[in-house]
Amino acid sequence: MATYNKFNAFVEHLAEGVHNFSSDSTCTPTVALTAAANAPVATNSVLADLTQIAYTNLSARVITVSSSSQTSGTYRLILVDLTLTASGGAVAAFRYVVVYNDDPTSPADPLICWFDYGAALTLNDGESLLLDFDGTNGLFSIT
Amino acid sequence: MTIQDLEQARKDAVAKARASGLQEDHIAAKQAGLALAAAIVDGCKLCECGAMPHGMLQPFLFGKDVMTGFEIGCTSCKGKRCKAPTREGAVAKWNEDQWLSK
Repeated sequence: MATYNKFNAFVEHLAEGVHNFSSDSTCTPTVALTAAANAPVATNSVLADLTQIAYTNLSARVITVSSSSQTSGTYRLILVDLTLTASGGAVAAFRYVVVYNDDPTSPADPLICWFDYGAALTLNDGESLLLDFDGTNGLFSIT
Repeated sequence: MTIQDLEQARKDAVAKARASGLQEDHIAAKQAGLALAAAIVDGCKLCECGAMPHGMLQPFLFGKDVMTGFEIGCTSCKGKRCKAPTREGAVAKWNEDQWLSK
């Protein structure tokens, strides 16, 4: 299981109203991919800080929000799993899966978190990678 | 309404809220998602913590094919989640405590 890595700026963005994770109508969690040589670091803040791979032949990278709610004071953002599929050819090799919010404009495309696959991965034509965001613990929780 | 109808209603509500920007439409979009989740867990017992579980439509990989299945889990208790290709199968797994190992 890949480990959740937080971008430091995310908590500030949360506190300052940059994000509204209420539903798909108020946010667009999206996946960005980076190569092994372009690892994200915690001090990255927005998508423009990253060097992404080319997404040629890759399926949509938008994640669906399933639930944004709290129970007994603990908030969880529950996301639907995402399947990345190569179609029409291979997709450029990547290692890191980054989640950002595509909706905000100031700052634009703020980063949320990233996961390390552990090694470079290439999706060949017709191959898929299932990103399991954990339907019970959520992408993240706030206590 | 079927699960497919509810999922389409959720998508429609999201599109309407995106277009209008009205708070009431954003609330309706969130409620449409909750209605879908509630329909998926119809027939589930309450979690031991007392919460109603949460239901989701989830992509599944069968070989190279991507199919849509179901996941049911408790958003209060860690590790209590189950998946199945059908809603009925997911409900049965939930009611029989067949948690997904991970």
